Amino acid sequence: MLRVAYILNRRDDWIWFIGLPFVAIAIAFASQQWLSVVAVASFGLWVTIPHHFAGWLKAYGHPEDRARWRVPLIVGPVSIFLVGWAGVAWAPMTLFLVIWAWDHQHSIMQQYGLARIYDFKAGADSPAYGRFDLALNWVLYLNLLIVAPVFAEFWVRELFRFGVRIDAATLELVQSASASLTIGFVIAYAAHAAWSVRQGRTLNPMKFLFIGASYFLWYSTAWWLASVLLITVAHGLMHGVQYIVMVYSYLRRRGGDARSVAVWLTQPRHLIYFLAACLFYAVLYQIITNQPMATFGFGLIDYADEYSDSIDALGKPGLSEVASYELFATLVIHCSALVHYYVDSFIWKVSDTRLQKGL
Amino acid sequence: MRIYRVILVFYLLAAIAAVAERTTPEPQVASARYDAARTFMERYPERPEHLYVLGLAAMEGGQIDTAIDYFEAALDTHFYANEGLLHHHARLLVETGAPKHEVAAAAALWEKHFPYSKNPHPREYR
Repeated sequence: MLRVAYILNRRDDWIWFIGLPFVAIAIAFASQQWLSVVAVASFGLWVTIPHHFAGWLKAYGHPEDRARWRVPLIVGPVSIFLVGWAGVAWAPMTLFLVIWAWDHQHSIMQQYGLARIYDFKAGADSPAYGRFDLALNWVLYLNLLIVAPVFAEFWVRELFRFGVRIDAATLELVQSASASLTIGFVIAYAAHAAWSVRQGRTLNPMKFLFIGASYFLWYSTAWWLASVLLITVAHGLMHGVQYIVMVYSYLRRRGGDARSVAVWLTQPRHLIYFLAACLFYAVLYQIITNQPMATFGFGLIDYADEYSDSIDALGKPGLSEVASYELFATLVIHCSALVHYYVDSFIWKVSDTRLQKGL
Repeated sequence: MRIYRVILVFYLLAAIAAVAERTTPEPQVASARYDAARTFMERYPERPEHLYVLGLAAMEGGQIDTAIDYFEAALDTHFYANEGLLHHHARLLVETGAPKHEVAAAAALWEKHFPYSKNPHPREYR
């Protein structure tokens, strides 16, 4: 039987898990049409980096979780730092390959995990569902990587690098085989779902809508968008925002000692602080990685541009990147002075009789 | 150990790939890159980045009209992420004396997507 159940609630699920992928596609298309390439980096900064902060908060922000995963939470990051450092110094292409592969595996597992939560919420507890969902996610995603030209270019190049040389005809054959197997598996998945219903088992239709919306985004952007950057925008919006929503919702429902950062940030009426913390993390990230703050501005802000060229004839140097950043920081600080100028324009009118009393 | 399963799989992958990266001679890597790009171009000749490459080759060979055709075919797919494509297209239109409105539209497209470019304005090639 079919039983509709939601992860958050009806309204929020439709917004964040079903509707968001379509909004993300629309934003990516709008970016392609109307925004500069700088804007693409802005989306990453506003969403992707803050979603990492949400991850830190979930992993390290709750005392109980910190105690439970004490060793993995120390060993993992230290080993990743060492491997990353070795990769940068010794085998950069390998590091790039690992990041690429792990990023995709991470994306598959997030959608799989959310699909499992839908089953859990509906009480759809057949162990076969988990195995079928995991297989479906892997099959759909691997097929995407194999058949979509934008992704195929990467692994074809890597195959050649590892000495596996294929020609265009073989590549086409591999892609056709992958697409056929995927179609076959999707039919088997649907048949299993129909069989389960006939057996009286519970199914949550929201899960299928969620999986459908997610893969619609990945497949449609892989073919319809002309650049990897824009595909990354669409993917980043869906992946990042859904992750932030899940972390916020989970920590808020879980509650706990309000002295812990994670609990305090996710208390009712503290949403603004949670979002501000996410944004602050993104600003810190930009500073540490020495990236321009102008990236926050969707390509509309660049202080260095207009004044960066030197006037050689007069011996005047152009505005350097550091100087441009200082100008930006100074402007942010001095913007508060505008309020001071504004209030002074009417609170100190000597002609005001009420003011005269005080004087 | 279950917690470390994923990280160990990726470290194993990294170890294999790193050995291959360190032991493959540089000329072999360059040749592999070239051959892979050729295979990919044969498989997808209509990809905008490939049309751009064909346009560049035509431009270098002095076939300016053909180059413009390739660039415009690439731009028809809304492939605006490559500044070279937008800039070369606008520049060639200027150089061939294309109608003003075509030049203006091409230059505006380049300006819109790369507002902070250090390249000279296409009009300067007149």
